[in-house]
Amino acid sequence: MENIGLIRKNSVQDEPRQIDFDEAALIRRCQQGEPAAMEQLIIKYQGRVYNVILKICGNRDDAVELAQDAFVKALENIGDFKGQSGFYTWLFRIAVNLTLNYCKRRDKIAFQSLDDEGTEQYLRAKVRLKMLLEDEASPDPVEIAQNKELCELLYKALAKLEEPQRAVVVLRDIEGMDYARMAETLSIELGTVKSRLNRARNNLREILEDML
Amino acid sequence: MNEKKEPNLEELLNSYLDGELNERQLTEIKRLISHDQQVAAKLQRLQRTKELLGALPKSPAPPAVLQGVKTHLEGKMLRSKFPVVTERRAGARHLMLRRTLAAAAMIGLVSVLALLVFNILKPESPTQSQPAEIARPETAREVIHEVAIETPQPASLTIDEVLGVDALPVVLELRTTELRAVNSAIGRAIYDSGLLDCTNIEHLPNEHIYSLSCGQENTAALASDLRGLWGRIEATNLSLARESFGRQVIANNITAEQLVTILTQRDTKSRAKLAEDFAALNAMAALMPGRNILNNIQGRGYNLLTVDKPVLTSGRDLKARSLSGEKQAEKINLTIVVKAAE
Repeated sequence: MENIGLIRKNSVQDEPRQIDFDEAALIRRCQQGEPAAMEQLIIKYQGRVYNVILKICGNRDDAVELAQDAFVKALENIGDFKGQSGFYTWLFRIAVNLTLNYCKRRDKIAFQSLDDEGTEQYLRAKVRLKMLLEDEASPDPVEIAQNKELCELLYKALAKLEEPQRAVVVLRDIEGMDYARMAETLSIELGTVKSRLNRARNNLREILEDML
Repeated sequence: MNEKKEPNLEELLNSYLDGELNERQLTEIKRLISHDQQVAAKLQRLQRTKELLGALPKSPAPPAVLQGVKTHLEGKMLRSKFPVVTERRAGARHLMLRRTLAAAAMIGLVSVLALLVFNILKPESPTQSQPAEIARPETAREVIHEVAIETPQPASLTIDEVLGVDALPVVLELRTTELRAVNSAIGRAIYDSGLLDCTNIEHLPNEHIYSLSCGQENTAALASDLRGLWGRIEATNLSLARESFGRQVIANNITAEQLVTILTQRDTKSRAKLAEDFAALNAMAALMPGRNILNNIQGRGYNLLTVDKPVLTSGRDLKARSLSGEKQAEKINLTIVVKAAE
């Protein structure tokens, strides 16, 4: 466990930036096959893993199954985890790869949506989205979370991105992962992360503007 | 798609938004933003998009995630705790047994098929290809016996003891109700033919054995002399040892003419083959409908009816086998066993 206590650079959002002793001990207990430790590990990461998968695949049922598969695969192979990368990165690599492979097999993303763009609420959401895109002030997350139709529009726009671009934008803007970990998680170069993220954000902006 | 290139302005702006620039790049970008309105506007567009996505609500993981993983892992632990391995081994053993049995069955099947194919394709004797042979019924074939030697040998006297082991024996068994008359006739014929010196005679209560080890010509001549005797014979049985050890040909209801023909063959193999053919012909003759019809009309017994037996008509083969050919000086070991008919 050479990474124990190693403080990583570049703290962003609430993501764990260091492998603490508690997690190292937890992983060791999991490696010894202790069910309680495995449960703790799942509880610790399930929300974030589930959200990333949901935002990439766009379907709640699929996201549940993929999250289960990711944890099962990770815990079954936890004996192979040597701590060369962080457990967080290792787990997300498994989850994202499973999800991207699943998306490749699936014909098209089927976001659970109201699919009723003619309603008054929907039109109102579009107007609000236009204001948010043009407004200088940052959007209020609470307001967006409460506006179901607005969320629906954002999910639809996200679904129109190609899977690799969707993955980088979700890992960065939703999960808050830094570039180095994104490169490690997606097994791509750091420069590729930057260029892909740039294209993803530009494309997303265009998609959103087209929807208005 | 080459995604690896020098970072352009937009990429630098994104990195600025994400806090991924080093000190020098950070200073440069800040200076650029403050001096260029277009760059500032571009930055704002990117920032809005990023913030909108970041503002999307984060759903809590449904309980099904944890439950599903726990169920899967518990099932796996149960499988490893209890002797699943034993079951697998038992399964493997069962599979091995099934494979072995299947292989054995396959080998057996192949063996049977090979035997059938061999029986179909094995070379037949020249006489079997003749028209009369083609019409031969299946039941007739069954009469040709090729069995281990179990024929009744003369009690207390073996052929080898009498004849030595240099010649394969021909045993003619005659069953008659007129035992005395038949014995007298055979003895006279042996005496008249001058074969007494090469004959060993043994008389038992209901059985008389004449063991001859004489020249082929003389033996055939004796058989020819015995033609008149056939009217008193109820049943005949000729057995010839074959060259292959422990096997022999048995021909039933052999006639005197057939016996002579057999004895005049040049070697043991030819004699055995001809005996085999006669056995088939005699069996076929026994199945001819005329015999039963005549028996019913005339009310006579089987042995009173004289039915002409079919004869081989292939000139060349029989001529080749006949005595008039070449070698005649061969010694033949003929044993005539006369038994009382029951």
